[in-house]
Amino acid sequence: MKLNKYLIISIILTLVLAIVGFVPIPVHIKHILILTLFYAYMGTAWNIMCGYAGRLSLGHSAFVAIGAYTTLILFRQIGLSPWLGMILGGVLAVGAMMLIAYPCFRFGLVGPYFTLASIAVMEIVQNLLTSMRGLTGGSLGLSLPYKATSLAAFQFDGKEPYYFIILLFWLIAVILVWKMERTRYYLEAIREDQDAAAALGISVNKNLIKAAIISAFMVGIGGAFYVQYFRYIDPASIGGFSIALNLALVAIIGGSGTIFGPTIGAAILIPLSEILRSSVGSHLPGLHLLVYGILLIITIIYLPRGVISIPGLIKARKEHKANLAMIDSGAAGGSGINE
Amino acid sequence: MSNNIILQVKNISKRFGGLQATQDVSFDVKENEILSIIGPNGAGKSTLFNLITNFYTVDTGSVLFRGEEIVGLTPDQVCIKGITRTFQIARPFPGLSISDNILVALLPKSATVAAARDQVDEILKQVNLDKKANHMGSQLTTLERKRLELGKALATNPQILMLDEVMTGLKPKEMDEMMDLIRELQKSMTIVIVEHVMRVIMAISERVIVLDHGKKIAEGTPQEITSNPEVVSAYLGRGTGNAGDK
Repeated sequence: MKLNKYLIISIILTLVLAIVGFVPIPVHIKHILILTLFYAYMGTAWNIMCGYAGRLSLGHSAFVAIGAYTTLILFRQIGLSPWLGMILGGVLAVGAMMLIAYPCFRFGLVGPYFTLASIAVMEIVQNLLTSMRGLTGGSLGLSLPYKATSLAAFQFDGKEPYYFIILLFWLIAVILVWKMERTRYYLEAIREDQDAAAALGISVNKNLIKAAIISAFMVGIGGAFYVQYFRYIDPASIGGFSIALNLALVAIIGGSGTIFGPTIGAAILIPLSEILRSSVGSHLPGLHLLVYGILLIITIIYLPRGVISIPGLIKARKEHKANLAMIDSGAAGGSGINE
Repeated sequence: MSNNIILQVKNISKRFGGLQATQDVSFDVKENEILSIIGPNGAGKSTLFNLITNFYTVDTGSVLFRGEEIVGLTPDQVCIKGITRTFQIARPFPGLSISDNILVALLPKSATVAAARDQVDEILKQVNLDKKANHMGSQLTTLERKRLELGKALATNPQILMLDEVMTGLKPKEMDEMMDLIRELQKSMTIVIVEHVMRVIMAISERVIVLDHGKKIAEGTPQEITSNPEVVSAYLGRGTGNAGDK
């Protein structure tokens, strides 16, 4: 029953967003919507490994970059369709993830140590992309040669097709997370106490690796979308801290370890950041980062389980007040008997 | 009580650096018995639990469960086979509700999530936590944590239940309740228990194994054990024992 709720919300939200896709709205708003859905999708992917399983990665942009560069290079060099390149990019991202995740999980690297390892991987990938100049164009980056609007080439004149594609990606991601209910429980148990989880018959490594594979594949695919949409990438913009932090922040502020947390986080942060960037960015560059920082601090202090926990907190507070009222009236009744 | 042997521990040893935590320990566990393992602090009781359930790897020796070698499996595989252990310090999943704690424990052996969900209430009632179902794992008292620990172990439907100091911190009345529960469980499973509280050991165990400095120094009925001079000296020191004085 509780699960159908998620399905209904996703379907309604998708329908509303799909209708919005047909409404003629200003291009820059459409751009904000695309970015929001992009980060909602990416945050959902990040959340599988980092939210549910609690292996906090601040270097997920490494896998985004691998997905993006694979798609772009294959398209430029041999004209491979981005749709196929995207899958290969996802697979390569999984390969890179395994190089780091397997030893980390096997030898029990957790907490800040895992996070540091994830940052190191991001730096390595970024440096490799910068130094492999012949293939990647180095720090100057690489652009996507524009041919013509074509679904096969994943290139479109208007923004609408991108909007519908990323909406579909997001929907698939949400349904996937919703469907893997058993794995979600296992990952949560592993996050809370992995020895206790193992003692109950839950395979810690198998489930962590599964989460890491799904997460890396999905952000790799997301990287391919990024390059098709923006048509230009360089190692710092796609493989750097900016994207890595965005993925983590949308999930943490929305509510990590929940199905809709990353989507809520993206719906709050991305429009805010884009609006701030376009309105005050020219004379106060970096202001959106300051706002991010403040929001993060407020969330961690007041909403450690994210914005998504607000209804639950309100309900708990009401119940607490009702309990207090009951105790008060009970005490009053007691004194009555004494008299 | 049948005399079928369900678990055979054969000459297992474990060394941590300079400390021989377990040395050449062997014993058998019979089906549906309650076997207690006792010994002074640091005798290697919990290590023995960790070795049997493969949380630690034995240096030498073997452990046979229904005749099948289980050394070399992972802890989760041991649990799936049918041996579940609790932890000395109860380890609830603090961020999950009590019913989800139980649900997680039911899942590995359930065909579907819905099937597992159907069994949650029954287990909660069994360990007397049904009224706390929606509380978080972090909101429990010591006794409730112990009960949840037991409930999680029961949810895995074990053939051998290994309880690591479930009585510690309980009041006498609570201990009686826990003992009743353990006796009830004995009808459907074998129980190996590490315990400090002698009253409990004397009341519920059929056999007792005594460890000291990682070695098995005695084995027998509770009565035999308490009259064994070596056991007395291990607990009270050499000076008070009548054997082995200078």
